[in-house]
Amino acid sequence: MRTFFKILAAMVFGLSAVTSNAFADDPEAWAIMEKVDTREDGDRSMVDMRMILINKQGKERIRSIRSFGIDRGEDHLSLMFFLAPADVSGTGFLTYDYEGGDNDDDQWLFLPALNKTKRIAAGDKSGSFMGSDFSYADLTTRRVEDYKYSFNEQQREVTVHGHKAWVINATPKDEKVAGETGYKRSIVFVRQDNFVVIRAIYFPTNGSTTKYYDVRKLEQIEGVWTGTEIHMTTKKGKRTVHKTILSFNNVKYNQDSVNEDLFSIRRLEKGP
Amino acid sequence: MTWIHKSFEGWFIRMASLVCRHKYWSLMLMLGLTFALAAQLPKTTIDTRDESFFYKDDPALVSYNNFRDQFGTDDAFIITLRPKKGLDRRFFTFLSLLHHELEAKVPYLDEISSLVNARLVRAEGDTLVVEDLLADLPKSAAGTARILELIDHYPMYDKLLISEDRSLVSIMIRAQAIRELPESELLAGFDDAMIDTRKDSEKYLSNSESTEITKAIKEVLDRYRDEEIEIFFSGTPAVIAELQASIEKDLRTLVPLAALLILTFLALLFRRVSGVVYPTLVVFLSLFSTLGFMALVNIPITMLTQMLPSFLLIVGVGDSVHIMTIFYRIYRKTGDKESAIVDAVGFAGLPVLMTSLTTSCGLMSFVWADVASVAQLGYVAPLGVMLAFLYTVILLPALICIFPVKPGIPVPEHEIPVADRIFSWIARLTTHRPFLVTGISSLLVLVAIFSASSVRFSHNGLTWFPHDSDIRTSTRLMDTVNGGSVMLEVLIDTGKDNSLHDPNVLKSFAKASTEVPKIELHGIRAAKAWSLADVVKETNRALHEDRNEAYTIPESRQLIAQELVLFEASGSDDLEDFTDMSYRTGRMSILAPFEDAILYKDYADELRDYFGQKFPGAEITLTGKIPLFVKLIKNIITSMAKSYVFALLVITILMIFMVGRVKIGLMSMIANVVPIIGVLGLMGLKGIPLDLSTMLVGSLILGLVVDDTIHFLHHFRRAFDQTGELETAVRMTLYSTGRALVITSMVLCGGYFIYLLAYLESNVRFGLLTGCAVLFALAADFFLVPALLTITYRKKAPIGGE
Repeated sequence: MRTFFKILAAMVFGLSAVTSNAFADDPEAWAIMEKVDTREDGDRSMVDMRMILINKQGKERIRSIRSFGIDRGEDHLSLMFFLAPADVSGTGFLTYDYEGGDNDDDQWLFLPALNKTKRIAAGDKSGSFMGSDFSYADLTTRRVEDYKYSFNEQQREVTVHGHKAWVINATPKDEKVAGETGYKRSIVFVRQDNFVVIRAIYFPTNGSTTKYYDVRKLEQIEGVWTGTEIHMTTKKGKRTVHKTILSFNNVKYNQDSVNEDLFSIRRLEKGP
Repeated sequence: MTWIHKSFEGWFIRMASLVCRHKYWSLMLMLGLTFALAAQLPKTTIDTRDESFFYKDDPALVSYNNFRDQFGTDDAFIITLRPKKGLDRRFFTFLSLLHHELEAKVPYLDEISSLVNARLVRAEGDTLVVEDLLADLPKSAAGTARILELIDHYPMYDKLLISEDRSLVSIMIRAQAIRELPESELLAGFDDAMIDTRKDSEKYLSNSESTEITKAIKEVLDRYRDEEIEIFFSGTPAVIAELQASIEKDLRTLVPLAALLILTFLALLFRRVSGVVYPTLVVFLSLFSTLGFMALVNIPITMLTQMLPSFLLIVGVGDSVHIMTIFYRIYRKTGDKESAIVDAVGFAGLPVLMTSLTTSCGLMSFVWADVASVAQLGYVAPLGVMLAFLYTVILLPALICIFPVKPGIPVPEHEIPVADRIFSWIARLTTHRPFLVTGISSLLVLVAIFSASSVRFSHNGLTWFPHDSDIRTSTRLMDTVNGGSVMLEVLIDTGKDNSLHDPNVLKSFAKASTEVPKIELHGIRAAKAWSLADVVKETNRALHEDRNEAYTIPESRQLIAQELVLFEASGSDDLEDFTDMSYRTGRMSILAPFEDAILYKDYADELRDYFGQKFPGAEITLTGKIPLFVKLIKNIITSMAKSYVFALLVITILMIFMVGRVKIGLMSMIANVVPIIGVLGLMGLKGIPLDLSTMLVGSLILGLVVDDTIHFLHHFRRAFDQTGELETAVRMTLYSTGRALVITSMVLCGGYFIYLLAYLESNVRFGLLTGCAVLFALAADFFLVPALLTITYRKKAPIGGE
């Protein structure tokens, strides 16, 4: 399964179940990323999320979201509801993230003020997700073989939050992948003891910004390593232009109430 | 004064003797200094950005930088296409290919916008489609018709991506505002407290990147030249890049011409190799040192400092000429070149120092300017003048002592009858009819003042280019057909988060979009104004089956908020261009024509009032290029006032000190102010405005022309003491100093009239005015000064004459 936060933690670099080392630049780096991908990441999840958006003046905007996630074969389904602020409370977001093939993902948004559900057909995924520093692409699956991996030339390993981590460069194999995700390359930091990506630096294809992904709190919940506080900071040069903090509460896996019936338009329109 | 003269003379003699005793060391010292400074030359930069005119703490620049930090660059390179056969399938294919090639080839790209990727928010059954207009190229006439229909359906495209008459289609290219961090510093980016300590010059893109972008765009455009489609290139960043290319072009023309003028002048004057080679070496080495110093302290070549090379060559050569003239005279008599150069430096050292000081004072008056690049000129130019002096009194004697110098044939010193007849006539006229001469001068001054009253302040970077230059033609086309090419940005800070969800606030934005283009002042009228309201209206229409009557702001704040979530969820990051994302501050972008900044001022004030009324209680900030230009005009005016007052005050004090009498000192200043009034009158007559380049003329010329008056007064005083007769004293002065003044004025004039061959109109105007000022100053020294001296001295002495 890939819950919202799980995707964030594990898919940061775009990893999927389909792996092959045929494209690896550095077999050792590849092997590490493969282990990241095959790590147990839980299923049928339920989580309360706080999304804190901080602008460059340090002003905060808080959104509360309840999120559900389930795996259906290789596909991933997710359902999210805004709980706050009041203006958007009840607004729901349902996503069918299809693995492989050329199928565009399906997305529906329910607007309570209009009492209407709209399917969204968006061209690329590089835009901001709900005004946060995460792009929609950050939240969806990317194929591991779409990238080339190598150890960072400057530092092969570093200590992050007291744990040793490998520093690996990930570069899209072609412009199509870069165009879809909006990143021309990224640098990932993989914890050596549990293969969790705990940090990453993204380089958007356009613009002079750099994005810093940082797992500040990592907990083992029901045997699954779960990032419970994740920061994504967008910087121009050294200056922070915007930042998003995601914190997760009431993280639960393997919930019986989280089944495929939940991920329907009818359920979307019913609200949280 | 005699005591001061004597002690200075003694000091200069001692110094020159020291140089001659240690000639090799002196040569090594000056060459060492030159190499040390000239080694910095590769670091020389050119800066033609509008930001270069501002101090880093100028509120207008701070506000502009804050805006850029938040939203990125406001202005764009604009490529305009005019398809001769209209918007057909071939054209859309052409546009798409060009768009994608530019996207791939242009460096430092932040955003490229055209009809190809124009945002399309539409309904398709229950699906909301957000896509690019030309995601799929039309394959048939029906497909083309559908595209044209969609273009009509989106008012946002009008005047921005396509002209209202559909004759022009634009591609806008926005560069990154801020440079990326070097790789070595990337890992430190996780530190929350990390502060960007880079200087603005390192943080924001500079001219060299702008030039790279321009070059890349032009290379792509060259490959897309098409008989059926005309291509134009404009936009403020393009103007800046073009300015840099033009400055380089002018430097390549003007510096060799100035060198040629110097060589010719020296050859004619001295008629021997040493008389040409040594002074030329002196001026060029001092110029290299000055430019090296500029590079060392990171002062770039700007619209202002670009005049330095030819200016320093022309002014610097005068120092050598004074000393060499006296040196040759003594050398011919004594045959001892070492004692000749020591005596020459001793004799001419003080006058050369004084003239260097007065010239420096005129230039130093720029130090207090509110225009940063003018102030830079105020630091560097006096240093250049004083370096030229230093090289003259150290390097020149060392060169003469070390290398061979032939005494040569004596320069014929017989009188030139024609010139002397004219000088005699002037002496007679000015001493016998002083009131008539003063009266006519006063009348001319009055006429000049009247004409000068029509001179206005101006800042319009486009008028620096020739009228038929590509950049002016393209900008005119954009302004006439599309209605604008420059951005004015209005930030409306409501003071409260989520205020932009309020239907009334958004309606005010929507209303402003239609009302702002109706405001007209001094012929300036915005082509278009747009904001978040346009996005909401588009989304709302798409949510209501694309019905045009739904192209409105919803009445419920919840619906607005949810529509914005929908828009965000559709993957577009366009909202970042319109708000600060806490929905507290809204941005309204206004496209206006490229006009003179002096006209923008009232227009910007009118807009500020308008938005103040429209959004009571909100904090309104006007930024973007237009408010920068408005502030620049204000800075030009205050800079000019400060510079003129300082130059007049300090040079008057220097004059009084050097002449030794308050009354004569003040009187001589009248003669020195007249050329400046004359220049202002000429500007009025020719319709030349006071702008960044012409504002320099007054203080610069004051520092130069005052030298002639000093020479004139010194000789007059000596001649008057000898003869006790006014006409004889004036005639003697004209015979000796007058001739020298004519020669130096000719060189100065030549040096400035060289600018008439420049490519940039601003340089042409600068050269014309400065050259004329030198002529006016010569006329004032020949006519007005003797007449005023006669009026002052007539009670004490007979007019006399032969």
